Amino acid sequence: MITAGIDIGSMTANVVIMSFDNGEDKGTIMSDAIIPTGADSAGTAQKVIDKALKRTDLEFDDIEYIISTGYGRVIVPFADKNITEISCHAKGAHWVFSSARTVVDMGGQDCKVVTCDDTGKVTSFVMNDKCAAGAGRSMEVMARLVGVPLESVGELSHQFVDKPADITSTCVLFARSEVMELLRNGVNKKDILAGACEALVSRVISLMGRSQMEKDLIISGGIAKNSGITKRIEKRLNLEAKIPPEPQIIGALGAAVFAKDTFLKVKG
Amino acid sequence: MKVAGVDIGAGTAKAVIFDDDKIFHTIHPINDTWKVEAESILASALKKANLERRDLECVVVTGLVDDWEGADDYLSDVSCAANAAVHYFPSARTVIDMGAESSVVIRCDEDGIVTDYRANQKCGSGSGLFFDVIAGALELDILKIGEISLKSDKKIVMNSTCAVFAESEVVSLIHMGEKREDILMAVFDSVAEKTQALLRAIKLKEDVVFMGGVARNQGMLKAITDTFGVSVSVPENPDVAIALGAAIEAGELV
Repeated sequence: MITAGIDIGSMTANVVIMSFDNGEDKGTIMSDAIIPTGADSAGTAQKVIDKALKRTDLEFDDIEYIISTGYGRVIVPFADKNITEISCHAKGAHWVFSSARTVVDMGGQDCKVVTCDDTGKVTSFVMNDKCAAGAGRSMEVMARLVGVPLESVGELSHQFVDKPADITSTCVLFARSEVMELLRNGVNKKDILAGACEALVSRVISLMGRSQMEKDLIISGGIAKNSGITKRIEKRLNLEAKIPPEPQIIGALGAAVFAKDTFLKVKG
Repeated sequence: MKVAGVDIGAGTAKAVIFDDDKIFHTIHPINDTWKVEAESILASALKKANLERRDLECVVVTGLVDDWEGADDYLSDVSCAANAAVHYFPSARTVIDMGAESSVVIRCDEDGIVTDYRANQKCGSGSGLFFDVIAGALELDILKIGEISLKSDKKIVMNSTCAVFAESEVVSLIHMGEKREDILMAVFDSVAEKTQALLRAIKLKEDVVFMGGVARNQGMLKAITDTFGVSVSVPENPDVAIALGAAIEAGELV
């Protein structure tokens, strides 16, 4: 049985194609793909699934069931069904780590804390839905301001020279001006990046404080690739977080697993 | 009497000099540290007024720097705004100040003394920077968005207030085929509604004065006027009004 999950997020669109022997098995990931979300959601959906298919010997029609998720989930024309990203993140994280009980998913615009039971079923969730403070976008803004690639922010943030710069603004717009003044005053870029990571982590920790967090903690989403964030979360909470090999596809992965469950039910 | 007011904002530095009955003002963007900008904006105002620093009897600074050695005193931008409002419009009792980063509503008395105020300190929506983001998303010049929005003939409602979320919402509105003037007016209406919520706390009293760089935006002025249902006055140079309020304070100190 071949299924696919497609996650249309605010910044990236992700696809996971899975194969299952009979549905009783855990299944395997055959292919995945990540592309930036374009202006045309339907076109982006087609492009990302084509990219994933190209890495296999499969044709589009070989996929028996497709579930879409993410903020653009309703605009995927070829999806058989859509499910919220909350459920998909829990399902996907549980597929990778069966010990997962809390998933912190940090994307471009939002940060979600989802707790689940031992089957991957959601038990609670909180997210920032009114304000982007605490979401990944602030990291992009800071990387561009200090002039380093986004991928190197984490590593550089650990190499601070003096101490992490104090960044007090909540709003990304205000933090940007605050950092500009720090740069003009000659504060080291690494100290600024460390300060930016500290500030973002504080927001995430306070969001987690509103959830019923339990171990094991999984960190997913694009920000999970930033050690400046993940290491600091671990340090603040005094625990070891689990990070999936490809943290950006967890939502799509969960959708592909749901696709198997749903397909079995539909087929009877 | 020769006095000056210097206002260091997040986007621009402003200075106003009172040379007896003549008024000189200068404005330039912030490129250096706040203190360096304070020095240089005062220097350029002095040059315009053809005066030396020693000619000034008092200099009051306001805005982001409160410890600049070049000033004799510091006064909060809120107090400066009230000073300026009553100077321009003696009947002013409510002031809306929107700068690059600020969004403040102020109640004052006939002497320009602040009786209450509310500031939007944590969130940048409603500030000039927010409009920069929106103009960027629409690929429009920030100085033109007000004028363009006045062509709007269709009401759209924005769901997001956060600049980061609003930017994505604007992009999706463009792809849904909405016209840019209607999108702009929707943004201005959403900011006016947020300002109205701030105003509720201090209870609006006429007359209302709108100042700060954003007050140059005709679309925002229309949104505020329509939302509040009152007429709103804008001083001639709304972006230097706070610096003028600081200069008034300097005059009073003398």
